[in-house]
Amino acid sequence: MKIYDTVYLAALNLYRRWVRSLLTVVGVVIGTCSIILMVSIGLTNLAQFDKMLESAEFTQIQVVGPNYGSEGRSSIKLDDAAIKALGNLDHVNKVVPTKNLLMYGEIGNYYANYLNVMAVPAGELPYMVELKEGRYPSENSSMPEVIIGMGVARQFIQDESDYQDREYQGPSIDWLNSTIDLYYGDKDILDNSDVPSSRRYKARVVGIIKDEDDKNPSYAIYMDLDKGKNILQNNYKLAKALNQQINTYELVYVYASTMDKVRDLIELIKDYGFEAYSQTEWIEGLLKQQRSQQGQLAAIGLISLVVSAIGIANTMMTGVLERRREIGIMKVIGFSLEKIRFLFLVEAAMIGFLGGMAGMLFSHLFAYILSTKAEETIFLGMYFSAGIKMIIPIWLDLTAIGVSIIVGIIAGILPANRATKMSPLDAIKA
Amino acid sequence: MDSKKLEPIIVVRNLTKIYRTRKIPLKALTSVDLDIMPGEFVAIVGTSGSGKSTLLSLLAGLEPPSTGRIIIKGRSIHRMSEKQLVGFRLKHIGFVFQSFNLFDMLTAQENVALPLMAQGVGRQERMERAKQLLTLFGLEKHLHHKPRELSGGQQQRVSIARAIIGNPDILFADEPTGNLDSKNADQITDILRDISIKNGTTILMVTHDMEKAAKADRIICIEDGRIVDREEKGL
Repeated sequence: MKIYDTVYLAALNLYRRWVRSLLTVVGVVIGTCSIILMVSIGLTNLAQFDKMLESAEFTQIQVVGPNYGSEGRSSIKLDDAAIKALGNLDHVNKVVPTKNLLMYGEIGNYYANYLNVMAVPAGELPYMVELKEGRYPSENSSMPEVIIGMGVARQFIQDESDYQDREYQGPSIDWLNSTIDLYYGDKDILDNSDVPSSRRYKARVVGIIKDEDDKNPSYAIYMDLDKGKNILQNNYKLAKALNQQINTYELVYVYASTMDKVRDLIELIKDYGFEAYSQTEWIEGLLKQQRSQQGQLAAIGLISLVVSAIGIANTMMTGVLERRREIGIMKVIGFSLEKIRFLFLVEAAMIGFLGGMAGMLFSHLFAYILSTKAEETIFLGMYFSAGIKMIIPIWLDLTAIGVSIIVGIIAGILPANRATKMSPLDAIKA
Repeated sequence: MDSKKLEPIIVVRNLTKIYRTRKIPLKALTSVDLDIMPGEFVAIVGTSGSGKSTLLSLLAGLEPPSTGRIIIKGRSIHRMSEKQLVGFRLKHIGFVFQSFNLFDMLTAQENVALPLMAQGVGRQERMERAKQLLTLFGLEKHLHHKPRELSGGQQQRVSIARAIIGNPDILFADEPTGNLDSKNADQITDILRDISIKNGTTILMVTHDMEKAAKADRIICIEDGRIVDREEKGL
């Protein structure tokens, strides 16, 4: 018996009971769809996650000065020498020193106390902050250039009572290209006649920082590191009064080459006597959680495939019982047990194949419908930073079809064996 | 007469079949002895429940005997496994049923070609051979008809064509005219008679109709599981 004969007979049998065959196929379609979609959602999630992990944030280690509580280590300083030493460590991509400046600002007749200005090497800013408009500060400008988040606007008030107003938005001016008068220190120290007053720095707002979202505008102000250092050097007495070291850095970012080096680097840096932190542990926990989530999704898919397998087995078993006479005739005519078994297995495999094919097509359709815009989305407990963009790779399609064929065959084994046990006597009993 | 023909093609010795029903064992056949020569057309006659159909199904190896021996073409049917039996039937035995037992979803031509399909003959060749056979039986206009589009007589002719397409040595026919009107029944019996004469096929036909049985070379009467009468004609 040729393979095409078996396929032909199997197809005829399915066609003869096409409603039942169709319903069974639908069961497989649902099973295949759920597997493809569940795995696809998982893959999409993982892909975004990987992309997220590649971003600098997760190779970043925050290093701060020595823990003064520990004896003997206080001589270590987070100064230029330390920056150089950190940069020479293995698996360190780069080291970004920063200084923090407490400043007082004025614009028109608005003032802001306790502005927190971060001084960062100008060349690093494009890697650290995203701009909504404008440009990044230049190192070579004559007057300091800053970029600000729109939250900063709310800090500029005319009267203390403005702080009480939750809806207060700050002065309604065009911040981009405006000029802020900045003074090193806070209002109290500037008013204190015992301490030399800060110079006035006319800082130009050259860029507006993109907010994380509308509800949480950024309160950050950045300027070039050298400009920040200059301010401190020009006001060294004031710095001393404010208890700020001029030649050490408050916070240094160390970037590891890859995420898996972060943990070791932290240990190494701590051995130097500095304090080091990263988001790695948090992210590793998150990663673990996402993986288990995907396992659960695949399990949901598998369950529906098992249900469809039971559907196939049921259909096939009904068919076998219904066709006992036919099977008997086949035996009398001379169809061997293997051929009869094979015929039923092919039938079951065909149901699996048809269901797998249709399931694949429907999956792509659903994937198209389910895909969202590039917005933050939480779907089935998974976090998508840039929306759900369903990925169905070709291997997933092929695997799903393969799995549904295999499921069909497995579901067909019992009915096919049953078929071989049908007595040929049934054929001659009218 | 060919010297080979002196050896019986079917030898049955002391054949007994007991059905173990729930209460009492039912003796369907009791100590049957039978020799059938090659090319013989034998009618097995008996009333309903006499055991004639049981004899046929035992001979075809569709069920095992309780005791006794069945030797066909020198081979012990009663010792064969089901697998061996299937192969043996495919090669040597054709079967015609009372209720035709054609496959609904296949055309007449495909039905006839089915045993060749089981033998692994390619589609083109087996369809050609089926066509020739159906033409021989006057069904050339019905090659592509499904069984339900054919009359009972036509269906039985298709079924006979299916039974002999593999050129079997022996043809078993279980009440082949049982579902037909007398005109069609006569035609079918004549066809069987023709096959016996032209192809030299050994034919065993079970019937309860003495008139149809009269066309056979020999009539064997069965009553209550025993052979009670052997009428030999022509031999």
